[in-house]
Amino acid sequence: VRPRVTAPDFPAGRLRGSSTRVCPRWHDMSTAVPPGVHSIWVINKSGGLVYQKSYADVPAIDTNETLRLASIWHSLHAISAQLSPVEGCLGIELLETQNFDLRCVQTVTGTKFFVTASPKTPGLANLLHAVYDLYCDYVMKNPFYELEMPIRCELFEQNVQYAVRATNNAFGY
Amino acid sequence: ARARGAMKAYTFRVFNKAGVCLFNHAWPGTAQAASLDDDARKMLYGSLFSLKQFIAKLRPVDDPKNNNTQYYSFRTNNYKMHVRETAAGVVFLLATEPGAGALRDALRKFEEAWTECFAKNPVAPGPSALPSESTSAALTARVEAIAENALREM
Repeated sequence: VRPRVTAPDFPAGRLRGSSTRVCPRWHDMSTAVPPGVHSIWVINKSGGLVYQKSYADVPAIDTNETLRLASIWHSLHAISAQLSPVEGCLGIELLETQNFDLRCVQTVTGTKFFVTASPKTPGLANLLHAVYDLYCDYVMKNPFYELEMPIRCELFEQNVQYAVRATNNAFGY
Repeated sequence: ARARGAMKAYTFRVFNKAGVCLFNHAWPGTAQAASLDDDARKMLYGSLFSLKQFIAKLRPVDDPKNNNTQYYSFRTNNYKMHVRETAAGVVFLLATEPGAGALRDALRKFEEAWTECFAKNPVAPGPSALPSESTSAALTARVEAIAENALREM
């Protein structure tokens, strides 16, 4: 006799009217892009990721994957300058795709700051320059920060959060 | 004389799924040669391939209906690259001045021109073969017309 297929065994606590959702993304069928800023990434001059944080409800990316993506971006940025049909290219500043925009700023020292956001979000360049200023103040001037290493400066993270919130609020997101 | 506000196009290329460059066109004033040597071609196609995967990983929503990177563009300080990829893996690349807007329609027209001149041509040898002289000439003429139209009003 073939065993009847039954529903998976949920822990008893969940069935007793608990408010936690069982499968977080099952009934979240929305394909809407979260508005405003999605995430901020900072890459050191060798292409290593030093900071990555999401500020919207976007799919989480595994840490190793973020390291890989940062290094891929570092190469793509450099190659885009070599692929230029005219002289004097400095690398990708803006990538516009169907579901998101990516704005990137590279400093004279080779550090790259990029932000992903919903398409046509205004104020991204200003946000990146603000993040650069915060990086100078709270990371570079922090005597305990090791250069080119992942950023673990609480004041930096806090202030970047404020900057992101300000950008979102300024444009009604 | 160029119309005031018209943007310049630099190069237009068509790649097939295997990375073979099927068609090349460069407008005057472009520092880069139209035809690519092997290394440059591999670098260009390889970087587009990586960029497509990068975009797929960073996508904020999972939209299964619309997951192909149909159109995207990236802009640097001195050029803007528009990329359109079809379901069959044919890639249309247009490099223009950085001030150009979104040229989705122009790229769609390029794809239609390509389909008419090349894919629908009964004597065309197949998806990987290079177009003949006459097909190239016809396509070049249409490409120039489309680009001029699209960039005139920018």
